[in-house]
Amino acid sequence: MRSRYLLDDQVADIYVADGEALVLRQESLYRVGALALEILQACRQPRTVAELSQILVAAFGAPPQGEATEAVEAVVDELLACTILQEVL
Amino acid sequence: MAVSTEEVVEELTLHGLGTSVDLQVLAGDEGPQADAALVARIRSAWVRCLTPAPGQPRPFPCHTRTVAHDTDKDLGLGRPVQVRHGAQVSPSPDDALSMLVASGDQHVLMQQITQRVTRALILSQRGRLLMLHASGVSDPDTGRSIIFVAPGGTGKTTLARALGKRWSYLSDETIGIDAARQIWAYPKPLSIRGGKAYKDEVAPSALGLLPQSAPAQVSKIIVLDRRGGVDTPTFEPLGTLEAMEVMGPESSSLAALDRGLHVFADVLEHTGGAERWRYTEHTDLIARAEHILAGEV
Repeated sequence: MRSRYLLDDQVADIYVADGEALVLRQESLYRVGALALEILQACRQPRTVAELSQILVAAFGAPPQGEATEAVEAVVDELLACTILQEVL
Repeated sequence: MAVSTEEVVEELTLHGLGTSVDLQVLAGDEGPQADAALVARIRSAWVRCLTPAPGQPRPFPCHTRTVAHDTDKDLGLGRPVQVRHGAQVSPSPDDALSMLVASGDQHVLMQQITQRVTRALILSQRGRLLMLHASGVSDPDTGRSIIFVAPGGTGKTTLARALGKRWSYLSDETIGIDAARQIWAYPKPLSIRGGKAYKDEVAPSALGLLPQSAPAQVSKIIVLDRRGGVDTPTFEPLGTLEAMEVMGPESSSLAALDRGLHVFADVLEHTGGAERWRYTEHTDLIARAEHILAGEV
């Protein structure tokens, strides 16, 4: 079964400015760039990497090198490590 | 107020951050004279917190706030801080939520009271106020205010002390701000190390600091960055994201505040954005701070 990802329910607030954002989870702050922000906003409902790749390509175009899914997986891994994204069944 | 099983020799209510906390002085090991001396010392140091600050906006009804969450109970919300001059006694099973501080050393006791009262006030205002680890002063007539956000030991108290002889002292530790950018002061005793191993808790009046006399509104938020070797201080504007990122570690219970980042950003944007002041000597900052307080910047 393909993994799906969802914004962590402990995220208290996201403040967006100039294409970047600050994410407040419990008492920790994370500053995220445009790609991560697009992923977080899309993950207000469960998303697969394939779905996220489509959303990001539509928003930013295809990456100049490599597959979009690879770029998305890398960002998703970082967001999981920060615990602002969670994997759901 | 909760009833202690030990003899209560004095009960005080300390006000700050738009709320209050009860404090009970319990009979100690040294006898009534030592207890009376402790009470006098507490009253003297906390004189500005014995009544709500004049000119404060409408108070929150927090003093009688219902304790609704188990987590709040666990943290002791709503219970009095208890002080005892003498050895710590083991709490009974019924007193598992004790807020007791005890020491045979009055210096230690006074520091612990400050820490415990501050924590209790902050807990009481969780989810109500944006609370920053900051000192602040305000114009006694207009209420224009400047607040200095910084980690401990990097200049907050020094600046409040220097500016507070001409401008109203709001706090040297924690400033509460509501969504309308009103400041909820906490004019606690100043914690001054003065080259000693411990900090003295000194009444603002003993240092000649002016009391608050008008409702205070945030006019500017400053992030202090004190470091050695800065001959000429720099005053750097911070973007909203960067300012919140820098000040995040100096906030309390930000996640408990509904849309806390948006409230914080709104305060910053309505006050012209934060600045980072990099400096070595606090005397280099006074002129610019006074320009801001006077509305000239």
